[in-house]
Amino acid sequence: MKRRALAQAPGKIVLGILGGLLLALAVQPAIAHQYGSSSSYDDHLGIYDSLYWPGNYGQAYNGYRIFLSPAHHWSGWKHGCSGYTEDLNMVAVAQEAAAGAGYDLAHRGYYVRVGAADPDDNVRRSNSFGTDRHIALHSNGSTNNGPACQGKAGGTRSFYYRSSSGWESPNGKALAEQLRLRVGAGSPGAPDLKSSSRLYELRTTSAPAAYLEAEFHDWAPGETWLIDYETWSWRIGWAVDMHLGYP
Amino acid sequence: MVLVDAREMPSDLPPVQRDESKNPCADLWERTRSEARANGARDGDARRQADVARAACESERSVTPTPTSFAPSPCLGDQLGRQAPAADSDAVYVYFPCGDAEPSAAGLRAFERSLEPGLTVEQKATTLVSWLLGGPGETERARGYLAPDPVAAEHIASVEWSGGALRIDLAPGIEQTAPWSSATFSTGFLAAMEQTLFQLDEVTTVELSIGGECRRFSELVEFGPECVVSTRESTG
Repeated sequence: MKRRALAQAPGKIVLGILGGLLLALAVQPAIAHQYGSSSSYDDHLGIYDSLYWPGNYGQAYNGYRIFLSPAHHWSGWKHGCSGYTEDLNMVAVAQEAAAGAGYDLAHRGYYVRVGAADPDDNVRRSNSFGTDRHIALHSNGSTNNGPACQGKAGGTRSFYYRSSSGWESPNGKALAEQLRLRVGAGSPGAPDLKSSSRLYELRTTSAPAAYLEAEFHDWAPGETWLIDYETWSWRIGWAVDMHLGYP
Repeated sequence: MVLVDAREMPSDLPPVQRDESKNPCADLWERTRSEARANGARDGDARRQADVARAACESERSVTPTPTSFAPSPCLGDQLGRQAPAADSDAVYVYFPCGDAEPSAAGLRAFERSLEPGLTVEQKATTLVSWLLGGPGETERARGYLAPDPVAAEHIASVEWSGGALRIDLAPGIEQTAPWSSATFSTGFLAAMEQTLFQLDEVTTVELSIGGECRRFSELVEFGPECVVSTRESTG
């Protein structure tokens, strides 16, 4: 038996290495493209979204699917005060809002998917997921030199789709308004509701969408609040629940 | 190509540990929900009670930061956008967004400039784009106007006009001159650009590119992999 086991060892080692490589691919963090990318490259194979099924948290599924799309800028990571990196922080916000500590979306009965790709891939994944509501998660900037922390604005900005001819997504607007009210009430600056006909994740999702600029990362009070996401990410679940009527 | 990749999160993850002293209201959410359900409330109603309780707790205990009233940008008091000058005038207006006031044409403020007489459409457009990218002067910047760093004006690679279509190509490096990817900046800048360039009657569409790739500009401002083409009609 021992000799046979030894004879099988090289094969097992090879399998182990292959398995390790596959695992490394599977757990690639959802934070690619530090230095930017182009969506012309299909470089998201092997980068996996995270799914949070409410049943895994002892909750009944309430019938709604939520797609959270944390910032993955095509042009690379964006930075703010004190070494803040938007692309990293917003992934953490998304994971916390999806299944953080019990007062999150999954524990509220929502089936949640956190996108790990660029916005165009995230939209495709969201549309194929059968998403009921899509939320892009970002932090904002008003100045070129974010790390200098000399921002000119503060507060939550919540965007919804409004076409150039004036048509508004009613559910997108209602969701954005709840995000403004619930997340904005917790942030240090004054919140505001905004519209855009151009932002990709507002105009191409099948589901009604909101684009949350949670706070300004080039303004010190905003950046401090952003990195303390454990204290406020629950408000995203609160906003969704309020918008959908606590299903 | 596999577009739908997903991994189920394990259901046996250890509970997330929280420092309750950091946020004493977090646990209240769970307690309120449990108590409401034990009293026969529907789960949705229990969650609603829990949300209200936690929000009130955070407000009382100052977990929620005291709202900081960001000083209103002085530019809010400046004159709004004006009507385009007469066609036979050399005067034009360059528009800039004031702070993050509503990023629409109505929220822009106008700065009067004067074009040299006898310029071609391309020369006029090049001048306007250089003014847009160069931003207002230091005095105006201090009043809260959003604009790229002045060095952005040096990144105009080419301006072409044909059959009403204006194509502006910017040089690589323009990416480092402004927070282009923030929704506040990108929507404000594009609105200002459209309002400024559509003063030229000969211009019906405007397309921006970087290094000859319109997609590169569109992705920079988070508008997507398709080219951004502004039309006079959609700008109103």
